[in-house]
Amino acid sequence: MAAADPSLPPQIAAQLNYLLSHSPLPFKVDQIWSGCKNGRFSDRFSLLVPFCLDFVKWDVIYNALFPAAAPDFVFAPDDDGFRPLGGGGKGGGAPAENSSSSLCDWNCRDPARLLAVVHELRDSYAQYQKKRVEELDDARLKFEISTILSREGIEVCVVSPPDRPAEVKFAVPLLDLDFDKLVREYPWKHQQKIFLQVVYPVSRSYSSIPSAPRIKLVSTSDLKALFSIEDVKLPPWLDGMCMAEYLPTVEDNLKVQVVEAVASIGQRRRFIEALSPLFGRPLEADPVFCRKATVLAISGVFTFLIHFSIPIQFPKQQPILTLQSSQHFNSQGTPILSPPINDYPWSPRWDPAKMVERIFDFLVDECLNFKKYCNDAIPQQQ
Amino acid sequence: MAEELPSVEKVSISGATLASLLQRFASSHGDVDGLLFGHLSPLPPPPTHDDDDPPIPSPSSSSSAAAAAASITGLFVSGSPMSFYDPLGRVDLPTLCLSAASAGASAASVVGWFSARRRSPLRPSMRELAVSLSLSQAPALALPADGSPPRDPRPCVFLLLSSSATANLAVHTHEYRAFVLRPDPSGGSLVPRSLDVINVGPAFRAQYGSFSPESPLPWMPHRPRGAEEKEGDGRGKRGESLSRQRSAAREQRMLDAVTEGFGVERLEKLVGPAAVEYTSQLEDLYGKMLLKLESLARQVEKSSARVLEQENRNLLMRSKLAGLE
Repeated sequence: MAAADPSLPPQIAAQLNYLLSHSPLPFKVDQIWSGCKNGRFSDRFSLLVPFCLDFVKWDVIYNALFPAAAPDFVFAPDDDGFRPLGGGGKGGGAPAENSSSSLCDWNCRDPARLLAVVHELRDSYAQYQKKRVEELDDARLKFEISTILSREGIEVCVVSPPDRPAEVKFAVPLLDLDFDKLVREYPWKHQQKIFLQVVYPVSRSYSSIPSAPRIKLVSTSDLKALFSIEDVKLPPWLDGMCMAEYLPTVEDNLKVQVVEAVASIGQRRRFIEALSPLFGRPLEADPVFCRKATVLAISGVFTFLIHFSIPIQFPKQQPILTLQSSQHFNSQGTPILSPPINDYPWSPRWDPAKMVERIFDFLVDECLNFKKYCNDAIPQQQ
Repeated sequence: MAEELPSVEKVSISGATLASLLQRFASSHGDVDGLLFGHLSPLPPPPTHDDDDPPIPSPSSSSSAAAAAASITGLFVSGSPMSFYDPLGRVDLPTLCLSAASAGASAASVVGWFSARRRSPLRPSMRELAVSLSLSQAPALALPADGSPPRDPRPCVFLLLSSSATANLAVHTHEYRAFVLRPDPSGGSLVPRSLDVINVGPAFRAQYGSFSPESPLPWMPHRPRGAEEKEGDGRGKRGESLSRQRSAAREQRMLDAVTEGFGVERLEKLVGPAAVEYTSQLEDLYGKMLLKLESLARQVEKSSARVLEQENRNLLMRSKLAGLE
């Protein structure tokens, strides 16, 4: 998500930058180019709009010579049914007035305007996709939609790849957890959520038993430091099940794990705090998720750093240690690092002070090995 | 509402009009849009086989969606984008009529519009669809298709142009696509139609054979031979109004200035059997014609240089205004 191209006229650049930095959704810019004859100023870009756990590509077309004019949008080729301005407009040649009202009184000096328009368009796009799914002749999908679509934040879309039968994708936001409150210290850039992605094949025959959907958990990228979505085991989907039955079990399951993950931050923090009596104050520590800490250690005249990498399942899994010499450098001039160490004595039931004490004891011997390792690795000079 | 709407099956444009459109686009600095003028003519009903084309289901009769052909004969290029419509794509009728008038055409002969944007996909944009829809629903533009009364939703032709050039400007690619607005329950959609370019050549002989001029000629009062001598006393006799006579005299003066001494009488002598004696006069006539052509060419050259100069100045000012410099 780079900042807008410098050759965009300032007003357009301001709007694009505002969109990229202020939207709760992770918009991306794919490409920026010029539509002018001399090509000096850029005035069009393709915007990747996050929708239904994927991106749709819209071309945004400005006019560099008239940067005050409102932008226009060209949608993806297979979305030609999406007509946010032309839908159902009847009397007097006035297209749907309710949509894109931010376009109506366009003000190029207001950098928030593009964001408002894009959000409005994205909302109409969600409506358009919902309508497409509702029009499908599939009994199970009709049932799912009638029972589940009232859920807040749910998104659906029809996926019709050219070489495969059409499918319908549901993106169901799970848990009403506010990560902003759970992890207060972290300035979350975008809205953090965990989604259940459910992909149904569209079946037109009523007689055959519909096959089970493909299910997957997806989390927004910033959550990965807190919680590993891959480690969650989903309950099996039973024949004849519907989403309304399935979701509560998933959510209960997930809630326990998220709460554990948040609690694990506290345990990691206590571990890092316990480092200082023996190792001295850490040089560096991750204050939010407490996943990393580095301390300086001395053995005789040998000075080295100890990097602690603390896993998400912390007390169950022990931290991974890496030693880094302050005195030995390889031929490229970078400090020599030890291989990751995690075969030291460990018990999740120890209290943090005991954990640190055992690591300290272990390192008293291990650092001598590391020193030898460094001396061997150092390039033979003269 | 849309039952009477003829479905435009063919779109044609004269080679000169298309060339002029491409030229205007290629020489402009940015995106260009404007109006297309022309007319609709009914097509003969298709032979009675099932057309795969699904027309709008209409309760009245199957012949309601009569096929029509749209011919584009002229265009108006607006100087700035969104001059005759707003950001939501709503057409502003007064501006549209003014624009049409400035191109010397009536708003009634608007068959559609065009949008030319460089290096962009050749698909109608959100606003382009809205403008086409709004144009087809605009009430005041009655389209004289076949003498029928004005219809409310009318067909609308939309021409989309795009061009791109390679980095070294060695190859320029011009693409265009014609669309026709097809109303449907959810508003309307633009469906692509092939664009016939009417050009000089054997393939278009029939077109030339069936040509009938439609451009208005200035009204010229019929003058019987020898009317000029009687002009002085004709006033009281025929009781014509003074102003009308004055305007006739003015037109005559203009005509005389253009002929430069080669009045009707003199020309008559040049074509009769006595023409042989007037060879030198004929040469004189041609000489004068050539001179006039040359001076015209020079005028055109000078004025285009001035236009270019002014355009560059405009561009500079616009860039400054936009904070680009």
